[in-house]
Amino acid sequence: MKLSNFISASAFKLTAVAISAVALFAYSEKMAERNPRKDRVHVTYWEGWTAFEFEAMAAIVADFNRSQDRIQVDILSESDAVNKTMMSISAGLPPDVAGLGNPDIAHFVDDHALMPLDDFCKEKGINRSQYTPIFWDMGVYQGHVWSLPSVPASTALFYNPSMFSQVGLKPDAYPKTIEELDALDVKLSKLDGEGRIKQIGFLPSEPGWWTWAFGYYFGGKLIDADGNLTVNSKENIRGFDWVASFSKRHGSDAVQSFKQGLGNFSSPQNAFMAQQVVMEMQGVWMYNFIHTFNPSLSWRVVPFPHPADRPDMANVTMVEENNLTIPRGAKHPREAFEFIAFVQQQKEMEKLCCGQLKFSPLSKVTPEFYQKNPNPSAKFFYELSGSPNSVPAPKVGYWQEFQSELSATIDSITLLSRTPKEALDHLQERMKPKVESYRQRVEQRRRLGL
Amino acid sequence: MKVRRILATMGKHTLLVVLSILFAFPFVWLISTPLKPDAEVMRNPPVWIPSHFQFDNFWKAMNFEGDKLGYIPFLVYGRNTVVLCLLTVLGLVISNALVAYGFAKFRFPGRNLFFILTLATMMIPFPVLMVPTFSLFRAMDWVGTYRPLWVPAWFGSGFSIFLLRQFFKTIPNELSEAARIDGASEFAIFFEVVLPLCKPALAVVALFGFMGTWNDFLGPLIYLLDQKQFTLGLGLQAFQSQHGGTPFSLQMAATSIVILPVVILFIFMQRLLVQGIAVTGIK
Repeated sequence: MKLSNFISASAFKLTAVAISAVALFAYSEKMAERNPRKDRVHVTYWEGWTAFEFEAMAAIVADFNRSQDRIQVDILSESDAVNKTMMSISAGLPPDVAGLGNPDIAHFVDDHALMPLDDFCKEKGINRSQYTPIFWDMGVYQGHVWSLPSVPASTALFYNPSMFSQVGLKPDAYPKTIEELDALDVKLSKLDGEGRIKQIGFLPSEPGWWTWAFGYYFGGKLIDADGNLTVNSKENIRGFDWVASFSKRHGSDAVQSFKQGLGNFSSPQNAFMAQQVVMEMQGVWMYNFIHTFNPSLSWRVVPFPHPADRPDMANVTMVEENNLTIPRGAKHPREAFEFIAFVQQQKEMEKLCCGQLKFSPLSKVTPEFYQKNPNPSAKFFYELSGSPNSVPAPKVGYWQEFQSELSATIDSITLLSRTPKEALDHLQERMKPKVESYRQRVEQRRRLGL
Repeated sequence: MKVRRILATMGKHTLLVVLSILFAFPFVWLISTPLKPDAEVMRNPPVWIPSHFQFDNFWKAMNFEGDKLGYIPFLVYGRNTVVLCLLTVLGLVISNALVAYGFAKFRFPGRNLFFILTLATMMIPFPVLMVPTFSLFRAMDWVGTYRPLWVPAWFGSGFSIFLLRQFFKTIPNELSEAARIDGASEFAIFFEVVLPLCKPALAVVALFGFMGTWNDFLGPLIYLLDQKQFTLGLGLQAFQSQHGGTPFSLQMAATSIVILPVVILFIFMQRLLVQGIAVTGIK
């Protein structure tokens, strides 16, 4: 090949590559174009919901955008919105509204990542009296309001009445006390021909989402009002003694082997829907799963039982909440709050909660809400959430780490490798320096104004 | 002797067949899940052959507007992903080949130091770089565009530079010298003599780059700000709700469709790929 051919061939190929690259670049720029309406202030809202939950909120956003001609809310749905939000706040480009779960609030506040909403609430006349108190309180931390609720949830005891009938019990003979629950567990548990557990009445570790909370049913707390750890209080030890009693009654190995055979929660093989577990602690969302995977299942939901000697602990319920917050550094905080306040209106809130098959966090609910809401347990959970014994996850910034330590501790309790007292004493000692170091870090950052 | 050899071969093949079946299990599960009715998706022990074949799950997973069960605009996300992949692959092949050629064939002061520095970039995990790079792209006003996802590919990657440098070193210098005597410029030597001999290594770089971009979740999650800009990898998360379960058969149908181009590409490039990996010694 001649040199001139060499050069012309190279030049041709290079030109082709360069043109392709430029064309692709231009096309990618066109794909990324967003053409926002210039006559409106654009409020960006990031939310972790997808599927029908996202659709329910997208409808509220559309209502808001139609309701006025000044602000346009642009909603973005991503399942990992919390981490994206934290990183964007660190980098100084946060959304104007961020959807967070209630356990996220404390550490976001400790990290100086949220704006207080007290003044905005005052301006709009939004206050605690308009909500079921616990759902307002979950957004309050260190004396300030940091978030307002979007969608709440609470837990109770689900049971299968037809399985009660199979062992000669009345379908409404559900347990009112922990002792009755124990007796029913014995009556409803069955072994197969080879001595393996085939069906169990109740198992605290199934599905195992709130195992940290069992002390609360006995009057315990993990952290007291002054922020001190009270992991090994006598009430908590009693609660976890009760948790361990299931492993003692059925055999730790037998329980593990039974659990290993249970199907995925989000499937028809779910232990409660496959009728392998007769009673289970679950939340308002359980209806969605039953409706999807086993609509013909016989089920009822009742308050979780209390110890016979602690009637004051009746109606203990774990509560959760999705929240709307304004990150620090948001470009349009005032307009963002306009949207948050819009969501708090009774009509919009009921539309949102109905779309997500939940109950409303507001204190007043229209009768039509329950008629429209496909979830027949919505009213029950709404009433239960008003209980003075509603328990949210502790409002501490180190909750995630605490929860993972608790989880390991509870495993050692259910495997009977430690007594509850030993395990909780150990955890109390183990957490103390971690909590201290977390507090020092927060204090140091506060002093430095970070 | 012959019998022993036959027995040994049979033993080896049996072992390989057993291992292949073991490795094929997740893939078979991925293919069979979208075809199953919901009741069989998560059954334990797994159901490998569905009792009723649900071919319409593929349609439901792809059909965004016509069917409420569908969740993502498949074609739009597919187009976004393909354009990103092409830009990334082009950038990776061009920039890495140039840099690697320099490291392999030219002597210059600090060559080894720069090469070590290049390799050192491979040792920094992405999460460590996430916030600083995000801040950088934010300062450049690039967040919300595709640029943070493909422009870095045009500035070289430690792994690909290393891989190509190893390959370039195996090409005899005599070839370049012969072209030089014929009067070819360094660029012509690189473009017309060396690069055509490096197809296997370039194929490895291109394929790894394509797969990395096609499957990337974190990058698009961080940098994209509009639902319409999403890629397929990011779109798949739309099948998971917070409190309503995951329709696994639809999600697996979507996943099967999403991985199809990568599988097809792998099949077509298999020979080049294996050759490239074998020659460069990269595993």
